Amino acid sequence: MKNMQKILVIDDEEAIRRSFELALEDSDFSITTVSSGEEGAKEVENGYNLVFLDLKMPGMNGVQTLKKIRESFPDLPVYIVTAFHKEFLTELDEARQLGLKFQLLRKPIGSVEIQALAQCVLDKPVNFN
Amino acid sequence: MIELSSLHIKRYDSVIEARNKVYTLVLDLEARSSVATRLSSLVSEILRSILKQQKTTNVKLAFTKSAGNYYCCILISCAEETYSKFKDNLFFKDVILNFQKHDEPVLEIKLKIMNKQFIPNDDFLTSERERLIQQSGTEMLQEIKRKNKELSKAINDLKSSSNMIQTEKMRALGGLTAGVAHELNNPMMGILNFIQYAIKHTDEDDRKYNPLLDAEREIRRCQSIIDNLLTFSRLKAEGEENFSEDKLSSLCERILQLYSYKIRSANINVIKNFPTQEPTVHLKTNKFQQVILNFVTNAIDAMRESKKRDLTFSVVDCENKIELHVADSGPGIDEETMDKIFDPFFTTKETGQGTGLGLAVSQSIIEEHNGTLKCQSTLGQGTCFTVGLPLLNDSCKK
Ligand SMILES: Nc1ncnc2c1ncn2[C@@H]1O[C@H](COP(=O)(O)OP(=O)(O)OP(=O)(O)O)[C@@H](O)[C@H]1O
Ligand SMILES: [Mg+2]
Repeated sequence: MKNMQKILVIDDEEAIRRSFELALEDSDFSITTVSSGEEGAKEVENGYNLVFLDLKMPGMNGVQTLKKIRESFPDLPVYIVTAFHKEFLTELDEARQLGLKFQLLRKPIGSVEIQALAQCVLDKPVNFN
Repeated sequence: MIELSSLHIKRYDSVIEARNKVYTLVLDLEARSSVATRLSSLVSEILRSILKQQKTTNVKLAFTKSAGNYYCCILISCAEETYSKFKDNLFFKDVILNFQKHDEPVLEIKLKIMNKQFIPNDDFLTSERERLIQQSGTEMLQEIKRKNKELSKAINDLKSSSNMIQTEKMRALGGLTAGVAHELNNPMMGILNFIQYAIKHTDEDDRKYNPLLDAEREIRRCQSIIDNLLTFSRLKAEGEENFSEDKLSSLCERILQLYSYKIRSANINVIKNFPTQEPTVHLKTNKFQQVILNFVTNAIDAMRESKKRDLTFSVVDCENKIELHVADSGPGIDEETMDKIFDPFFTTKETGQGTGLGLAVSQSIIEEHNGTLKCQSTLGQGTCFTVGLPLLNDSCKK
């Protein structure tokens, strides 16, 4: 249990959180889900190996949450999972310009993709630039 | 999400206003031209009647307009006795009365008598008549020209505001579509994963297994429809493609190669008319291939029942633009259908066969390239789609 890789999913939609949980159910990863940016920023302090982060959430949105996470974890791999909301484009750009590392993933993602992504990132660190 | 703002309403008002303006102009023009016709016959009748009265007449005609009324002043030089006779001429009175019956611009005839003898010869009469006709004609003509100008300006206004409304409408629809599509993506991801989870935990010989696979395939189809919607609404930001230089013929070749199996199995004869020297165009290759692919799939669908199955690709270099024609020998498109083929969701295909987004998406892609898309069709002979792309145009190199 100690050296199990930990994944955090931050998404306000139950269906998305369940999707990740089901996809990674029998895997070697331990998965935690939270439903807001605020909770996510707090939870991440417990130490994670990979974060899936929703972009459009009430309260703290994905970009704001990312900024918060980066304050403590500059190198933690973060996937921003989004249905692509145009209104966030400039913010995402800005975040990149600030040197905040993240990768974009477009919803919907199936379980095979989720497993592959997790495996891939945790096996060998990808370049998150 | 979608703002059907006061802007739309204003635009709409301005169209109504322009339309009313055109209408008034047309009425005005009509009134004037009927006055002109009646005037010219009146004038010639007057002239004829005067010339019947006596040979020694000097006639001048002035054509003026004031306070919205037309005045025809006839200046007649003649003897006083001729005048008194002339004044009582019944025929002449009739003409005036007759004219005044109409409630359109009133014509008034003023007669002025000069006590002078004058014997005109035939030449004089001819030239005088001509001059009179010309004089009134020129005035009318100028008036008509001016009105015509106003009219065509109003028509142009009308056209551009109706274009604007169309664009606004598409934009509003695009915004709505994108919003809906985005909202759908979350529940879709849920469904996809729930189904995949169920598949994972179902044995292959379980009778639930295949329906679950079907469900997975169908949800993928929803996904591709949503993708199409997002391209259509031009808000799909992900993987925003850059413009690059490519030849239209190369794009066609690529599509033909990729879909060679489909084309061959549909028994279609491909004809290519590509120029030996072809300029490259500035375009988003992937998006443009999508346009060509939709022409091809539409043509294959159209020629399913046809005896002759020719699919012709032509690239034509027209100096400042380049054209791609994709023509089929299918059944053609009737007029009523033609009006709708570019509308999103318009399809004549069976449910599940077409979403009716192909041409709507194509049009928005072509617009993004500052190009044009036209369709020509002859029933029983076939259909040709023509894409025009500007050459040497920097405006699309954003
Ligand atoms: N080459 C053609 N010949 C005859 N009819 C055509 C042709 N191309 C298009 N159409 C008509 O125009 C309609 C709209 O075409 P469009 O490509 O937009 O949608 P679709 O092919 O029906 O669906 P989709 O492309 O989304 O799968 C078609 O359903 C068909 O009726
Ligand atoms: Mg189509």
